[in-house]
Amino acid sequence: MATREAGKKMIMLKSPDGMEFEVEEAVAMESQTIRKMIEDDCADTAILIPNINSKILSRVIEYCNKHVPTTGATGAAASDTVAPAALAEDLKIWDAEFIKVNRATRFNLIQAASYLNIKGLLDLTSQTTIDTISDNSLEEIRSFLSTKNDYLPEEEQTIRRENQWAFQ
Amino acid sequence: MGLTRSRRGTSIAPVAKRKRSPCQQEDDARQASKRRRHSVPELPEDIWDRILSLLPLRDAARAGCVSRALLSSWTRRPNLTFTEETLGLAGNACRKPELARTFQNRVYRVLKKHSGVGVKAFKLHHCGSGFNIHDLNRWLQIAVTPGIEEVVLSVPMHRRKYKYGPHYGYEWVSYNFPCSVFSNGSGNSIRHLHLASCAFHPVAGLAHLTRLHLFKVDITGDELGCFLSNSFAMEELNLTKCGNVIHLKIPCLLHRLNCLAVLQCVALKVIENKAPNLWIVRIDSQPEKVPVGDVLQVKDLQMQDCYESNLVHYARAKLPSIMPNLETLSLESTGEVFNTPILPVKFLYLKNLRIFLHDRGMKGFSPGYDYFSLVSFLDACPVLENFVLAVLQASVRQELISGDPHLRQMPEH
Repeated sequence: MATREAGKKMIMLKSPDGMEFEVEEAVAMESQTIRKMIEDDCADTAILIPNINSKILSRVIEYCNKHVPTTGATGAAASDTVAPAALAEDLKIWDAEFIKVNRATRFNLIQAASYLNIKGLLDLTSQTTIDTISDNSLEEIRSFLSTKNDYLPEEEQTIRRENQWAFQ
Repeated sequence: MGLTRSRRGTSIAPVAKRKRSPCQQEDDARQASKRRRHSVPELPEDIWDRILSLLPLRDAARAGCVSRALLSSWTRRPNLTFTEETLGLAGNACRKPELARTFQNRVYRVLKKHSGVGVKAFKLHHCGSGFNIHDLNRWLQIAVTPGIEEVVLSVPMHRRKYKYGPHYGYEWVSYNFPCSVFSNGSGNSIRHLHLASCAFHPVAGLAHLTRLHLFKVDITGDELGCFLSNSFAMEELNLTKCGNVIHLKIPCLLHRLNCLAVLQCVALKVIENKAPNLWIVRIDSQPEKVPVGDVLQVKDLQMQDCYESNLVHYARAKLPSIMPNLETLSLESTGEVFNTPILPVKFLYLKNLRIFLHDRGMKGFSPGYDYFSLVSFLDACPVLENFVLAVLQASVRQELISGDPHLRQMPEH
């Protein structure tokens, strides 16, 4: 299903809910998982991306599309005209906007970034979770992460006692 | 950047409509309902492991109290860095002995949780004064297991009791790093070893060690030479303030060694290099400490001098023949008795030259030195791309331009 459009090689990505996305090969190759498939010649037909629904996949593609110029060869022209520092600053602002999503979407994005092996996206999504955990109380962290306290009361007491130093 | 055929704005639209059977649609509806009930997905173990490994140590320990899943990730954390800061003791007002006790207590608590779990990076900067050697040995035994890749250890000197005639006294001694911790198989996985303020007396090499940094370490040149002869994977060697190294021999079997830094080793007389691919060299003190042996291939040399030893003069006069392939040269001189000479020999490949002249805050940089003589350096570098000259002096003792301006003109400039 790989086609050519305006001289650029295109790749078809398929989500498990039946949606298909035609993406430039360079954009798709921001994912190390897809890159490996392409390099191993496993990408003749559409690539099925399991476990990532179309909504999340479209966000992932949006991220890769934005980030390809700074890392991919196709971005050479853009980098020539804009100073690298300005480009990096622009990307940082864009990333900050991109990650303003609800928890469910963010967790889905982390999983997608992990499966597709996109380091930048994994760092970005993880960092938001790291910020959530840092400097918050246990109850706040549980609430932020929507995680239930599955300790028995006496277990929790022991764990808290063992790690008391981290609360001081 | 043509992304999809049907992009609208910044959103990404799929190119094909969904074609789903009624049965699949029912499944979808069930899934959607399930999702609504538990709208936030559970993150898999490996992602929690990653997130907890990126958190500062204290935050990760606290996160372990959130749920069983996070506790498992905390106990699997592969990187353990123990410093005053990571253990929440920075700025602690308690007295030093008490601080050291609290430090040890916390390290022990964390290590107890990680016992038997593959630690990859163990870093410890002991704070406070005095510590128990047996504790430290025990910590290393817990943390350094097969699979360990990095050990960074910095410990203070400790007091040892000794008998002198009928009296007892105390002496300050360095912690003797127990090389036997690598004999359990971890010697095959260790990649980076950084030791500070220890004694290191290895009897064997480490087959996969790529980076060795020794700072204020008690080791002799012979011990180090023997260790290097059996550590063939070495890529980077850094020795700083290792006062017992007099003769440093780098064997020819170290094919991968490309970076060597030897700084402030006061007793050092000779660096004899036989490693064939040494590329980057950082040294200080007198020019006679420039490595001898196989140095023709060196491309990047950084020299600092602390003893007013005419480094710039030496570099201009001698380096073109000793290291003719230099591409980057950085010189830091604290005194030049002689002006930089005009000579026919050139640095044919030198692209980056940085010269830093400073007086160490003392009395002004060599009053008799003629800065204009540095032009001879530029003259010797036909392919120079970058030149940085920095002069730092507390007081100016000389006129920067003196004499007849016509005499300042050199031929071809």
